[in-house]
Amino acid sequence: MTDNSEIITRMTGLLYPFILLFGFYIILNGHASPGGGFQGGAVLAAVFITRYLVDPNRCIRLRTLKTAEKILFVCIILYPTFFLFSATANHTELMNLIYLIAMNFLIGLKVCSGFTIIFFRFAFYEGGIL
Amino acid sequence: MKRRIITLIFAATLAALVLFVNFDAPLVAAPEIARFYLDHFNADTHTQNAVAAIYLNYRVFDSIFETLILLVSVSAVVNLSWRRSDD
Amino acid sequence: MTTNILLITLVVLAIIALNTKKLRRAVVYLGVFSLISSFLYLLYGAPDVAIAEAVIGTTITTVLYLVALKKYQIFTIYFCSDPNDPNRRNLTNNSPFLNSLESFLVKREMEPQIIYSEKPIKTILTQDKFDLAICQTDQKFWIYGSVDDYQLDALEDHLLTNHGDLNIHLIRYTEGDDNEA
Repeated sequence: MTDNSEIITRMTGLLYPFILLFGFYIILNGHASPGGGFQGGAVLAAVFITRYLVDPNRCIRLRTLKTAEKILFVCIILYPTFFLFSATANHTELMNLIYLIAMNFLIGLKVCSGFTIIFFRFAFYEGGIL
Repeated sequence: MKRRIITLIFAATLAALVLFVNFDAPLVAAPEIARFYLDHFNADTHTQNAVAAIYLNYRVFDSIFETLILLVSVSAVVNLSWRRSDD
Repeated sequence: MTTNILLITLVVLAIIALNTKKLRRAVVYLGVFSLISSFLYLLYGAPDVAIAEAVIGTTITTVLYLVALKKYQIFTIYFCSDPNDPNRRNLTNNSPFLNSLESFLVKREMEPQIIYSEKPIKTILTQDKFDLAICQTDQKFWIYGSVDDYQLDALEDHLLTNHGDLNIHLIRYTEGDDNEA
């Protein structure tokens, strides 16, 4: 992808913030409307992938994303174990709402970083010669 | 040509078998479970969305292992690629 | 009624995607396939699955397949000739042999990348990563290619029919552990 089309570059650059906003809307409103962590995270990863179409020569820092993914996975395991499975936690309506939003947010960020790592690893580190 | 005909016959018999087995299957597999979730999710979890209640409250392990699968596949992609070096 | 029409369209699109000659078109048909199936999920009352299918199947998978095709297409050719040979210049510049090789590769949807080198052929075979190595001595061409490369049979046919007078020797060697380079 050395020669880029001008139309694709401009239009994806224009659509970039709207897709980002839509992804965060899907994640943060997932407890009340269709959507949720996985779908919103995939939309956020699509934002990074369209950035590859705009500017194919720039890689992003995969090492920080990898660490972030591991930390987020530990958080995803720990929050339900301490909230859902413990008898002492109070399951009021507000606490449940906070739990749902926070879990959607964590899952969304983790799925986004996972897809982004897979795609950029594949695009920049595979194939040797390009 | 012969292989093509054999493949075609195999695919046709497989399609006929699947259609024969599932011809009068109901659209919802177990209606009583679906009814239970739809009746009780609001009282149990205080949410408006039944899907969110199922995948974050009733079936949390589903979400956890789904993200675990993604983590394992990411590390497989990182370890099996040509260039081993990081960044 | 609408769902039945869409389901039939799905089957037709799947068969078309399997039967196209060019892989790039098959990728586009697969993108349309997942778009229609996501619309079907929406009609069946599953908007969550529809969003996931639309994003993953249509965007991420399509771009990933296109990048993979782009990666796969580059065909690296090492051309090495003896530096003491007096008539090597007129072959490296615009020779009909290399031009026909390039047009053959372009016809098969690959992008040739030719690297001229003056190293001896032994070091190239052991060290570098390539798809095809051509070595020219006097009027003989020695062409080295991997055994696993399935493009090599068609290449041999093409070369023997078009350049039978050029004294071409094609050598298939078993690839060592040069993937780790």
